[in-house]
Amino acid sequence: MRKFDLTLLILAAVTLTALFYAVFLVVPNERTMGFVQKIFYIHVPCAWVAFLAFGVTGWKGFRFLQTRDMSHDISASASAEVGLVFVSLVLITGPLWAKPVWGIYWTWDLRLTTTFVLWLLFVAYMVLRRSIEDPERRATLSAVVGLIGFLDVPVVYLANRVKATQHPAPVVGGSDDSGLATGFALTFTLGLIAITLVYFILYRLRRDVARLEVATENEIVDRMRSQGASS
Amino acid sequence: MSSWALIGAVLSRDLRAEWRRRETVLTIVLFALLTVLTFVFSFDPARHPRELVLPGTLWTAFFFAGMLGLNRSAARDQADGVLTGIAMSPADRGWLYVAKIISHFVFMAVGETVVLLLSIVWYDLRSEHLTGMFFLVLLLGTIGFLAVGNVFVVIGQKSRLQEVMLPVLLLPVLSPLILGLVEATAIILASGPRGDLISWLQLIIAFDILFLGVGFLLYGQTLED
Repeated sequence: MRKFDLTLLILAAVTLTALFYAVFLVVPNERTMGFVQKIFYIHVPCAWVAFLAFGVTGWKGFRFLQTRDMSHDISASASAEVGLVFVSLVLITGPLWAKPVWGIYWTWDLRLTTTFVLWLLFVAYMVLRRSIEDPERRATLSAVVGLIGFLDVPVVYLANRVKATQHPAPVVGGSDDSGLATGFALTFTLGLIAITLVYFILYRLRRDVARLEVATENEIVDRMRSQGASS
Repeated sequence: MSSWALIGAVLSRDLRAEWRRRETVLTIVLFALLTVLTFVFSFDPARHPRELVLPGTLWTAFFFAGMLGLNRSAARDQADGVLTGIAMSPADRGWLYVAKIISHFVFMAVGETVVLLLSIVWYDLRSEHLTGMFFLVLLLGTIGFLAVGNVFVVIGQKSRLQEVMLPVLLLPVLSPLILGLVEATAIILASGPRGDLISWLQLIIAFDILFLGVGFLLYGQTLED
């Protein structure tokens, strides 16, 4: 493990511990929603990371199409795999919060729908990758799909804005009376940092493993070729 | 070869090939009708208001039939060796993409016409519903569908999952378009507020422009190798 990864890992461990300490022992229960509101500190950062991960996949796909450098393809794929985990977490933690607060697990509100579409885009991307053998072709076609999916997400969100929504209005950066009390805001920021760090570690580790896989495969092919040549 | 000549050549080839076999159009028309029939049984038009069931019925029928049509003609193109020919030709990929959209637009328009004619009978669709705005939404929706569908059908053909890949890739990406089209069509059928219709139209037009641009630039990438 490289020094940078180790630093990231320590940072993530510290912030994640601090996050759970703050969430369960420092921040008071929210007045109307009570204890269940605490899932917000995990749910929203996971959603942000899911979009970030898809952004990385789209951007790396774009870089691959520009440069034809396979390392970009490996990064795009690693980010999608990790992103799929986070978007799944969003879809699990959301209903857990919604049932006690809204009285229902799910509503086809467009913010929920947007997240579900994001999940479907991740899955489609992974399914496509698995169904193409040739690495060069897989890299090109999945980059095209990743890029189109990435551009589609804002459009899905715009559709979200047009339709009236049952989801609570954005708490941060919404209207004038939105916003968090200081203690809540600090914990929320801590959550964003901690979960983003976790994403970056998982992404970097997955990418390195994928690089090793490719290197090993090439090595095996080379050895088989040289054995074939010598015999 | 100028872009117009290229479009003309591809178009005349696609239309002539279709005229001989009539596979794609037949697939689209039959499947669209079967979808509408299924919806008639699912949501009885006598008991449900037209503007609630018809928009979803129409767009589901058009898009599902459209996907079958895209897959059908892509499979035929592959059998005819069209993709190999294209890969070897120096033709501009972007204009090739435009030509493919136009030829599929013709096929889908046939299916849409048949379905609309029957909707007049089955859903009591009247002349006050079939306004210029209605046909504008129909036009923009079909273009948006083909803008993405034409890229993804080639990708699907090159994957192991073949024709199954197209809906898996296409439907999530099309979801905002489907929403916009269904809402816009419902407003037109119910003679709803014009302001709402305009915001949906803006969304649909933005979708079309964005993905026509992306498709124009990326279509060539899917044809390489």
